[in-house]
Amino acid sequence: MKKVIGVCACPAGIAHTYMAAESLERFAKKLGFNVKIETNGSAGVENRLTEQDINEADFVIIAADTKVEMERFRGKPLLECSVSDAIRKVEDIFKKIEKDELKKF
Amino acid sequence: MRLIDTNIILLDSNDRTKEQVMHTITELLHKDNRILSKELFKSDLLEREIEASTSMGFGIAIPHTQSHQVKDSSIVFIKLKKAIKWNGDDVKLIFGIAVPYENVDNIHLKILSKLARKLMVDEFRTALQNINSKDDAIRELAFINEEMINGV
Repeated sequence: MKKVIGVCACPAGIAHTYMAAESLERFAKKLGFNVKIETNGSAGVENRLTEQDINEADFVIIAADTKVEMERFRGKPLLECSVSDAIRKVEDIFKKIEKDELKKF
Repeated sequence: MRLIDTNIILLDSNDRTKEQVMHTITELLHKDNRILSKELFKSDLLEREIEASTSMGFGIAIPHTQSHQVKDSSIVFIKLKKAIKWNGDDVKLIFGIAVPYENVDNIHLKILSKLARKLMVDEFRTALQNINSKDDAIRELAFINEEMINGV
């Protein structure tokens, strides 16, 4: 099973961060991916990605409107988008993943 | 004070613009004694909106702020009579979320994150669209208050 990981973060971090995370998780599961999404919200960092998560991951999605700690994803096929894209255009994101269109970070 | 309450639910609102909705949210919260300064609260709400639109698609917008003007965490629920334009989206349902700046416990934020996640579930959104009375609204959103009591 392929593993997709990601980080969601938005300015206030009260609502949209979590919607984006839920959206990515649901769609990934529907497509049969193993998935883990970290949220950087007002309640702090939840579901933090471990080194093992990152090592095991085949793809990384960064859905953020604020700065995210990026160096940890060096060398991974990675897609960056807005939080809103993860909520509204989640199909497009996974289309790119399935077509293997992600560039190495 | 409960996060969601009949006093801060408004159905069949006639608001025609995003700015009017922000005004209504502020008025409802002020009438229910949940915020300090109306002017400052509204400006905090608008400031977040300017950073990035809080319309999430699906006809729902979630203007929100964590503000010094908020006394008690609150979720305003507004259903508009007619959908309005909100940064290019047609919006009919609005959750106005107000959280105190000094948020000592994280329970409110956790509950809000749960509501946010639930909004991604088709069945929940359909139930929200079918709300026609305050009783309906309370029934659909009761889980928020219940979790407040039980803790998350």
